[in-house]
Amino acid sequence: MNGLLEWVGKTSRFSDPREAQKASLNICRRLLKKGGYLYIGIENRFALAYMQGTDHSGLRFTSYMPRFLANLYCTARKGEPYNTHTYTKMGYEKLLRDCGFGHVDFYLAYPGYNLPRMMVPYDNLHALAYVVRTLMGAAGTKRSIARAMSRLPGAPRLYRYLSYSFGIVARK
Amino acid sequence: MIHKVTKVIREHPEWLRSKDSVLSFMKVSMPTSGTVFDKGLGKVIIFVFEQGQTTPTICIKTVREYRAREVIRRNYNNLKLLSAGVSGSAFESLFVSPLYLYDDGNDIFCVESVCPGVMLSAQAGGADLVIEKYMLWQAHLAQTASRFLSSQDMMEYVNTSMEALKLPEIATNTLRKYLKRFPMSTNVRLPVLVQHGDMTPDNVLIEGDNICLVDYDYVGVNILAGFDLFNFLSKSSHQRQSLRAACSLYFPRYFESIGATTETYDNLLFIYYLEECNRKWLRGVDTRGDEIIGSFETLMNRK
Repeated sequence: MNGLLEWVGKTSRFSDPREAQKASLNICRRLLKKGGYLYIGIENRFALAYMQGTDHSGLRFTSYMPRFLANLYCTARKGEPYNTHTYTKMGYEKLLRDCGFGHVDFYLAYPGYNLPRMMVPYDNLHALAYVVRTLMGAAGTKRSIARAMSRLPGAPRLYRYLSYSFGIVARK
Repeated sequence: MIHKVTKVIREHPEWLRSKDSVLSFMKVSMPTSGTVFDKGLGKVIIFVFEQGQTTPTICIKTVREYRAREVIRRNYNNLKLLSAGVSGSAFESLFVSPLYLYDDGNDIFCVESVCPGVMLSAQAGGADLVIEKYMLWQAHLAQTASRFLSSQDMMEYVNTSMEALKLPEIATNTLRKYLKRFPMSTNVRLPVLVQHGDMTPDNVLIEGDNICLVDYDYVGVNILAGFDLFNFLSKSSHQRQSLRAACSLYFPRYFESIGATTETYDNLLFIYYLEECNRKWLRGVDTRGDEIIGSFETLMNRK
């Protein structure tokens, strides 16, 4: 499911987008063999990148807002509720656990989940620091800042909270 | 695949810093991997981290589809070729160690050690160090060189390079005419030396005074001594002078260090460039004769 789960909530069959997402994940789980894997490529709800552009709703900052506020805002601006839910790592973990997936691994997909050049294990901060220091090119101010910041204690931890997207591998 | 990789690693605890380490895997692929240009043939690199370690211990190279297995075989054999050339010498650290090739008919991957260091392209300096080390390595290889290219061999080499471009006859004639502008040495004696083939700033890692060359897909494709140097200078953005000036600075020293005899090397630069064009052509970029000459001139004068 690459770039798909966030759109599932737009269906008219469910009033709650989260319920629609759970229903689709349940279908996937049923299709899997025991021990089979589901891969999900999706955005991080608190991605720093959303400061610069619009969310799936077509409006700015909606993913950062509490759901009820995003709902009110989208209804007022677009005439429809906020139904393209994305989550944080913890949010996806809970969603997948609710759908019966026992084991879930998270990766930071760089530069994004569509054409990821790197999949960095979420729990391995050393790997993340290694990527920034060693494998990223030098060109560009953003990269220079990222490289300088990677040396600061706690910076890789902060980066992963604000990273653009996740590659999620869930096992049945 | 990861299960097979893990099994192979566990069977070889000597590769790890600590044999019971918890392993985590980080996937890295090329920018084109997975795109329409790649057609499933793209290489995928997996760095294996041991828990608590700040650098990876092992590097696994594989391909998305088994039908592209030759990419991995070639990479592994090329690395073995390079390693054999520096075995027991002071240049062993110039390349990683080939550890293992796995092929079960469904999956293929090779296991290599990991180069320490940071990509040259991620640093502000270091180009001079790379050139210095490259020259020393080539001089080391030249000591045992058994084949040499003469002027006649060079002409044949040029013909082969042009044929490989598969240009229309008129374009080939344009290139030949252009090449005649350069004086050709009559007493060329150029040792045939293994070239890395893709010595770009992205493929050079630096740590302290050591460098390490990675990515072995094109090893041995070029036998023309100095191709790597030209390739490096043309891809490097660390030069303040034009490429032509950089070549005049480094090539005389290079030829002297490998014991080559040539009165002039201007023609060689264009031949190196034809080799680069061959590479582009192989990558599906349409190249015409006048474009080649134009881009060569632009490149040589670029700062």
